[in-house]
Amino acid sequence: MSTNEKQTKKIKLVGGKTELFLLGVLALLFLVFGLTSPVFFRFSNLMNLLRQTSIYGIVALGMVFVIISSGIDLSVGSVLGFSGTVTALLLTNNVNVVVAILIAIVACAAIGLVNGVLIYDGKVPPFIATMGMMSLVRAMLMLMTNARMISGFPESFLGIARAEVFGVPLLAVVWITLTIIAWFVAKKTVFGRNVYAFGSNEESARLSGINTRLTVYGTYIFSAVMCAIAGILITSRLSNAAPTTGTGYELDAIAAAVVGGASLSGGKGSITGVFLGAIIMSTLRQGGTLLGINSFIMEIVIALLIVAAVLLDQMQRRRGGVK
Amino acid sequence: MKKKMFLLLIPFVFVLGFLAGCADDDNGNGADGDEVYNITVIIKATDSDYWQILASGALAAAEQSDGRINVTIDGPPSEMDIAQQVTIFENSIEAGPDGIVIAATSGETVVNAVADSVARGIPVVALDEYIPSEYVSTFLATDHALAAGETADLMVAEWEAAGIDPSGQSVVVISAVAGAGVNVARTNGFIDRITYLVPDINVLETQYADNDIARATDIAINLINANDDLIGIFGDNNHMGVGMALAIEDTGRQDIITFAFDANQQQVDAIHAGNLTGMVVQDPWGMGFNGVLDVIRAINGEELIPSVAVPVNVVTIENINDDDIQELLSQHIVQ
Repeated sequence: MSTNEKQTKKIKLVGGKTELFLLGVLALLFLVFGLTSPVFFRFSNLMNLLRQTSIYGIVALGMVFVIISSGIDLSVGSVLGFSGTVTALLLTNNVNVVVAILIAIVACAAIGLVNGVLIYDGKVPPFIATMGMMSLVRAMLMLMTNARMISGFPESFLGIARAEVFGVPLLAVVWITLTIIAWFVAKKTVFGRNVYAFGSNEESARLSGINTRLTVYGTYIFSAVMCAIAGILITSRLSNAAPTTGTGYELDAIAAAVVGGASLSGGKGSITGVFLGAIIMSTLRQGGTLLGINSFIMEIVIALLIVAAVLLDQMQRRRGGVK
Repeated sequence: MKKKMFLLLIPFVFVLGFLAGCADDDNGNGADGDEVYNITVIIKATDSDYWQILASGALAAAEQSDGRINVTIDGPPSEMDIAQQVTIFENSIEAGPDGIVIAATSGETVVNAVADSVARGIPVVALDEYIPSEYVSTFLATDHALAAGETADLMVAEWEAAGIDPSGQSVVVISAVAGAGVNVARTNGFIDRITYLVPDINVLETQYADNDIARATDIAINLINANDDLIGIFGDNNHMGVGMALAIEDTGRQDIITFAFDANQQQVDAIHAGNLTGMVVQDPWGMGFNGVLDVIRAINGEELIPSVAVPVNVVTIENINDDDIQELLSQHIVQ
């Protein structure tokens, strides 16, 4: 009992440390960019930063749950594109905006369920199942659109991305709200705890009576629904749905989760971590543009950051193991 | 268990059978005899209107041939898939058509495949992207550097008309992808010409947007916010153009002169709304059509001119309603 308590304390401490470290990195970046660029701390620029982070910040929220469950979801970019295209096709056929959005979310949730069934019931490794889904959904998109861009949406739909709440873009408000919901789900619900338990040790989770099937289904459905929301938002923001939208976003989402302290071996990761990870990544990108830094050098910096985050995770793990 | 597996197989068998049926139909449509030319046309990407128009030009050449030309279109989904296109090219050679017309995403990467194809008696015509190989029969393309330079001239004219002195002010290029020949030619063509016209202009670091519209929008907004002296943006394809126009709309900075390569409906709307100054419109339809006819000449052993420049149009609010431009645009934009 006491060792158990100690262990949980330790895990909490490590989690806290990661987030403190991330806050430190973010503060440092803000300081550097704030001092070197006169526009960085402008309110409009900070709002731009939030807006530019929100789409993949939302995708990363779903991804971090999957990673905590010791899975991976490579289909996120395709599902995001699918959501946008389904919404676009419905809107251009004069379907009501709310109905179109709901249909897109349900359709994406169904894709998430298929991922879950393949992984849990079919015992297909998550990497393979979601990679297959990535190609399949992308190809479906191409077929549905004849590989063409769709545009011409009603103002009420375009207004979603233009809307602001007290000067904060609605996109960012949605992202932050979803982050709070995800934080609550991870920390305070049975499902959230089950995801952690399943990710740390599948067998013991099963033996302790956790409904592992629902845990896996729920994780992949949650990820797909996040992508659905992100896909709707990006379509509104760009006023078009290109069938290639979202290509490569899975890597950005994985990067945000990993930088945020999630471990690809499962059982570890936090919502605040992924939130900070996403902001750090887009701050680096934006800062690079603001300062006119060569974009290849910026990509090298981002790559080093990702590897450093995982290296740090491994070092912590090893130290924990020795003791 | 075994029964279940068998049941799972049934839909696959049906799908395969269906596909085989389709393939038979395709063959059945061709004319009989030795005179049917089977031509494979490989485009850079299926996701862009531009390549779809090139494909429809190639297919039109087949339609007008009374069944003597059979055109098959292939290509990767996105221009990012450079390696996948090489694979498609290699597989096409294995299939053994009479001739191959290819718009390579990166010319250098297909040099070996071109040599292999010609060694097997399959001539290759290059479209759009230069392939540094002596085996290519002919090369039909826009002179990308020259066309991009034209927009630099127009940009300077726009500044003059607006009473802006470009000396010491900034311009920037937003590029879809780093390292692809066409994009490099456009980017350098623009930069070379603008620095020739305005020697002390400040050219900011070129930004790359992974051919992603959202990324291009964000980059353009950041550039506009960071550089008060930014007076011109050049985008090296239509996805960049759409992103730039959204950024101009977002920031309300219609005073910044923006030119992009290639057309689509959103850019036409943006030109009308004043969020995009102009776009370079190429002639992909003609390129696809003439590419097919040229490869047939090559199959018949004719000597072809090594390189042909296909002219472009720069569309701005000044000429967008002209009849010939409207006709050109109607090819590019399928409603």
